[in-house]
Amino acid sequence: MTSKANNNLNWEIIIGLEVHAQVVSNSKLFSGMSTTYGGEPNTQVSYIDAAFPGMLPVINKFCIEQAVRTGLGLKAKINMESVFDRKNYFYADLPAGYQISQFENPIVGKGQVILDMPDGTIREIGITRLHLEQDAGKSIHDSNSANSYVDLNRAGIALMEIVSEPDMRSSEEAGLFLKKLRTILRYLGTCDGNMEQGSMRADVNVSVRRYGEELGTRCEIKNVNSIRFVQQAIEYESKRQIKEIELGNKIVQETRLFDPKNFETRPMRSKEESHDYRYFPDPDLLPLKLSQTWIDQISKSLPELPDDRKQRFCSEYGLSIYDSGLLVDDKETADFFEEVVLKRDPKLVANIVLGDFYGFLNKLGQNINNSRVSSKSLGELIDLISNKIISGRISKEVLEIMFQTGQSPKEIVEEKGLKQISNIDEIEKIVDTILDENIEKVNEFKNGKEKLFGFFVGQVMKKTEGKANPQLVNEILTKKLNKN
Amino acid sequence: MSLIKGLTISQARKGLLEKKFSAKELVESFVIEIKNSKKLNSYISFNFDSAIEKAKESDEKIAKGNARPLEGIPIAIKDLFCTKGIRTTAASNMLNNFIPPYESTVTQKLLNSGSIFLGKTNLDEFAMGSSNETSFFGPSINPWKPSNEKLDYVPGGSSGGSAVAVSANLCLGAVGTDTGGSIRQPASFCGIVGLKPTYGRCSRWGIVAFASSLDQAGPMTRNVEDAALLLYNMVGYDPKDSTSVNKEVPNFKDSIRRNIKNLKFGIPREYNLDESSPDVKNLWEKGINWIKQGGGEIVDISLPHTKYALPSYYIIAPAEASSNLSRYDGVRYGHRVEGGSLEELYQNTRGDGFGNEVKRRILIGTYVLSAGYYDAYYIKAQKIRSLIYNDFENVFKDVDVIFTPTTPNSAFPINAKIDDPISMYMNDLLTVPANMAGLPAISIPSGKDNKGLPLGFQFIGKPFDESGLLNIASYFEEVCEFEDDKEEWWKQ
Amino acid sequence: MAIDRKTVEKISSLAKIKLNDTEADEITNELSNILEWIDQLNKVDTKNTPPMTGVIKSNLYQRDDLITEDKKLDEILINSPETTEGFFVVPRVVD
Repeated sequence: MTSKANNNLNWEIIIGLEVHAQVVSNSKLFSGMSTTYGGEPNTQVSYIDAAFPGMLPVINKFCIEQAVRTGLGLKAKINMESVFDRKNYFYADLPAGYQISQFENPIVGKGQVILDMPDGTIREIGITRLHLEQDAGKSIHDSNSANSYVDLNRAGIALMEIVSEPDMRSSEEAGLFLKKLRTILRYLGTCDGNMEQGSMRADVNVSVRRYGEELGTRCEIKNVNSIRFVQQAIEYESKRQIKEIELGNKIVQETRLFDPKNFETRPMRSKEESHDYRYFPDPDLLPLKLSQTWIDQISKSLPELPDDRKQRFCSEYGLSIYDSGLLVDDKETADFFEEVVLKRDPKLVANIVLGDFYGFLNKLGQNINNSRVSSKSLGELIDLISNKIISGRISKEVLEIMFQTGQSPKEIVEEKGLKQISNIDEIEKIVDTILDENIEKVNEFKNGKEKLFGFFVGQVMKKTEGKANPQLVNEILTKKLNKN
Repeated sequence: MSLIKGLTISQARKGLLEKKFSAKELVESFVIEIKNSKKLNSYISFNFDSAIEKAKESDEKIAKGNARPLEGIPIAIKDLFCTKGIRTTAASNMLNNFIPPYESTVTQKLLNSGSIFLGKTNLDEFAMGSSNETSFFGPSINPWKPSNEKLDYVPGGSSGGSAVAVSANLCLGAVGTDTGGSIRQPASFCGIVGLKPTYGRCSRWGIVAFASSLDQAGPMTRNVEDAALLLYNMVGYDPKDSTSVNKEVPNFKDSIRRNIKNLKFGIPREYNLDESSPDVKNLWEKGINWIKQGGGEIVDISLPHTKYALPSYYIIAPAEASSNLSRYDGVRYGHRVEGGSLEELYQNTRGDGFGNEVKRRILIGTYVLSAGYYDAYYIKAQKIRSLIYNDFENVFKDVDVIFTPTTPNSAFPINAKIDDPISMYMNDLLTVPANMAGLPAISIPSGKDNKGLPLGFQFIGKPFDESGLLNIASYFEEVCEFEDDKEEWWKQ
Repeated sequence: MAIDRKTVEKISSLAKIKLNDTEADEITNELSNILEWIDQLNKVDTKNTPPMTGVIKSNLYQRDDLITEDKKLDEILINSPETTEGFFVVPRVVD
């Protein structure tokens, strides 16, 4: 085991990803059929989608716009003229016997994605290209039957294939890349990024080499549908390749599949016939020419992207890079934060949102849009803390009730009598009682056992059920304990 | 018979509106005629019951004074157009049982104009052929043949059944499609008028695709005026076809003036082929004289890449076809031959469902697109297409129209060329260039050869100048005085 | 260019067209003849000529993102040789 680990230090893993991202649009790329997920089989299929004789594709303008928007979000070159090609192959879920795609002239050229590494450094991953293409249908295989069943609902939905440069060097980087890409797509509203519904899938190209050597032969792991699986597939595949080479074997360039049950990759059984796709320009479509004016319009309509937003969170709100990063990772969280933070203390808001608020969301399996706590009511809760009506400690209890009942924090505080005790006389009385009850500990403290201070605070809090203003408690305790 | 023999669309319209006969009577006459002419095998499917129903509706409309432009006009549709509820086969075993749940744009327009479909006409399988002999349903037969000839003659192709139906009075007009000459060549062989419009004039939506960048629908009629009438009711921009062109549609009939004064006629020297029969050459000469008589001007022109049009066509058309025909896989519609695996199902279905010529073209197309050959063949052919296009563009700076024979020869006997693909392909030598350049072209009957078989004149026009072509064709129609003297030997 | 039987088998497999022995031989012959005839194109100098895909020079029409089609399950399935419970049926496919 150790020797293997040592060996791995000599090996560099080279990873490139091809991400298929389903475009958010009402209708399909070349037909006016709905793209809604999860319909009964073949109920969202037009004659075009099923490639009936004489049917012709007509392109969806919004899908083009989405591709351009994504390209701009990836700081990529938008190609003023691109071409739709036919990629010819036979498969059960490909009704026309060809997929309309873009081969030599994609709509988007080179771009980049910036990764924030956990150690605070930055990695730039190059984007080679982005092109538009049609999704295929779905074949369902029933192991008890000699048949497969074809559902074409998904056939013809617009996909963006986003191809990265082979710039990643670890499964961790690949994971960060996918997360970041997903974040960007969600910010742009061009893909919902739901990998479990298949609206984002990745083909993973993996090769290994000893440091300083030439690139090795790569294998492509097709259609991996979660970030975790991508990482597991890379782990397995890179180890497999290293082992093969160390055994003196050659890596065969091939297409493999990831088996999430056994965490391993295996060669595809159906050999994809020599990959002769016979691409040629689709004669049913004309070259796609874009105008600079239109691209500029789209560019102006772009939302603030996660990298920019993170910078702004640091400078405008004085948050740490780390907290800013966490907040902007998810557009909804960042939006929510900005709704709450108006006229409030940014650090306090960030702490509550990323701390207790997210804690409850996760615990209850809710998300920011369907929870009972709105930005408005969370803001009210934070105001109660800021105005010293309740203590931070009590706020967690209040928040929990808010999640359960949807009540406003004020109501809860009133109802349960959770208001903070900020009356000096009252706290002094309680402090006196505590000190009287613990005369021995007081003496120990006075003899130098200063860490007992916390004990006294705890006792006061216990007595007040956490409602005593902690700052006042501190002040009064300090004053009284240091007397004489 | 007396009612419909030689009847034109415009005469029929007059007769209907003047109530000399009803649409129902008209349709019924054609039904009888078609039944008596089964020998010609011009129709694959009949639509008689529905046609008679439609005729009754037309009669009501006429009675109420609401007649549409082609109200009650019985026509025939090449069986390549998808017609809702009417079997559409493309003359292939592959689509033997296919009933489209939709109507092609062109046939929908024709329905909207009040015309009545008598049935679906025979063609070469998937429009691939120049003789109608590749049809799964057997060849359609040319009503013309030399006198005392025992052999049957081909009507040309691929729109052979449509040409036969028009020529033999089995409809008033027909629609065909033209990818490399498939309207003009059979029109020429059968002594009728056939027009291929500018690429983009007619929507291709709902027409079984052969070669998408070349296919165009067009009318086949007894005379030029009818071609104008039918064309007007077929064309128009269609947002469902991305290659359809949004261009104003003139009333083509109004452009027919039978006047060619001061028009410049380009005579391309490259169309004077060794392969052409002396009769074709002589008639062409005669045509040049008619131009002079009519006050037109003769301009000798050169279209230097003409001879390369056909071989490059036989790269581009099969390439596109190989991809267009991939959808016939036995899964969603059409013929299916079971197999133990999906691969076998495909292989069996396509091996059995397609005929020889279709297989041949799919395989050529697959080859020229495959890795290692793409540049040498497909890209090369596309470059030559550019040169052909440029040839025409240059010439049209100096001339209004190009005048050529439609075919190098008249019709030939069935089976004469079936075993020699290249000599069969030569039929399209003079028609293919217009497809490569997307130009409108018309063929009109211009005379007969020494065997008494019809020959055609072809006029190739500037893009979207169908009006100009129809006018010129109308002049020649008058001076050629083509006489339909064929015997009705096929009648039962 | 003449092509051999092996090439014909390769392209017929790409095109998913089953050919028996006789057919394959015939086609090899025919295709060779046709391709030899096509080879006259090599005489044309096309070095500075751009390829032409189609003759239409206008811009690609782009439709609005509207749902203009409704469910047509029956019409989609009615011509199919084999369906079950709304699915098309094919021999079992392995990945």
